[in-house]
Amino acid sequence: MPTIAVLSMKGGVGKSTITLGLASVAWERGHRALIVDLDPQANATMGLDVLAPVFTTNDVLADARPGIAVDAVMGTGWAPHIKVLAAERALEHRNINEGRHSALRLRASFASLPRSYDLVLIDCPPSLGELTRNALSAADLAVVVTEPGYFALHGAAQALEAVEIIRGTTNPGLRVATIVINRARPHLAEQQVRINELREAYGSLVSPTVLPERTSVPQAQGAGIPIHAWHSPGAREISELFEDIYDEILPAVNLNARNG
Amino acid sequence: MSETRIPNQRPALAKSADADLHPTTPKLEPIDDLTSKAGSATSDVMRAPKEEKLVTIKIDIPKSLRKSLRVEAEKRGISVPQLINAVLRDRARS
Repeated sequence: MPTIAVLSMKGGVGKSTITLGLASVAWERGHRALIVDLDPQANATMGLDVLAPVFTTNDVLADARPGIAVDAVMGTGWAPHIKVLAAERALEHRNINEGRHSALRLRASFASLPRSYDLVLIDCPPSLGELTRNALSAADLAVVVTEPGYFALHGAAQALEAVEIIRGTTNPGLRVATIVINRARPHLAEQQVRINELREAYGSLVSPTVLPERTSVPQAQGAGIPIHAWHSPGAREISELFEDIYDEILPAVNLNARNG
Repeated sequence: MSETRIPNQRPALAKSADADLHPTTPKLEPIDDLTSKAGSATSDVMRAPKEEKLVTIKIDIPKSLRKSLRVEAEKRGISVPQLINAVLRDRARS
């Protein structure tokens, strides 16, 4: 039911990793999840073991008729309850303003689609173009991803600004669910300084769960399987941390739904 | 024998016209732009490319695809044949 956009303005901080990590929790718990890949690099699509999608988010956004996204939903290599709207290189064509209501094309194409799932996750590209605007216009919640580094923190700040802009224009109901610190190496003094800076600036908006860098993450992605299915101590550690983030996000959504 | 029809059934999703076009493919410039400087004393570097012989290919495509091609061509400010040429040229290179 909730639609969550995972974003950062900086590339390489782990947006697809977080998207796949949360999808992995849904996989483990038997929740029905739809992953919407809005990054032309299509990393989330590949991580879900989908190699040659027929229709993609490029086709959906080019068409944009109400409810048309359902035609492009396809299964993944993970499990029948994990579905994907895949991405492809040509999606880059859609990262420009396409006229009136350009930022609402994804939302229109979804129509009632999110109601068929327990969770919809949108993996955003690392830019503030039309693809990200579409993602934020279609989402209930934004998860901002950052690394504990100077450039990444600036990327997170820009992502938060983007959320504010979308709240003020196309999607007043949009909220920031959390800021996730990814790929941390807390023993590095520089990183600790940046983590402290982030907590001082954004307080409780920063997730208490910090994801450390573990080789099991790219290993599982390369194998096209959920991190929960990768059997190593590092994978188990990361899986549990993803579950903490998942639990942190979802009660907020449920509470919001009840209040709404 | 009566035919069963689903009322208001919408056309299915189709591949977008630019699905096979590499994102870095530049918009095609009108031929006039390339030829305008040809023959001038100092800017012959802009001489028009050697003209290739054109052939006509006739193919049948769905009406919906033709519509998508028109929309995409209009968006890019080129003609439908120019768009098809660009897509096919990109495809042939990859």
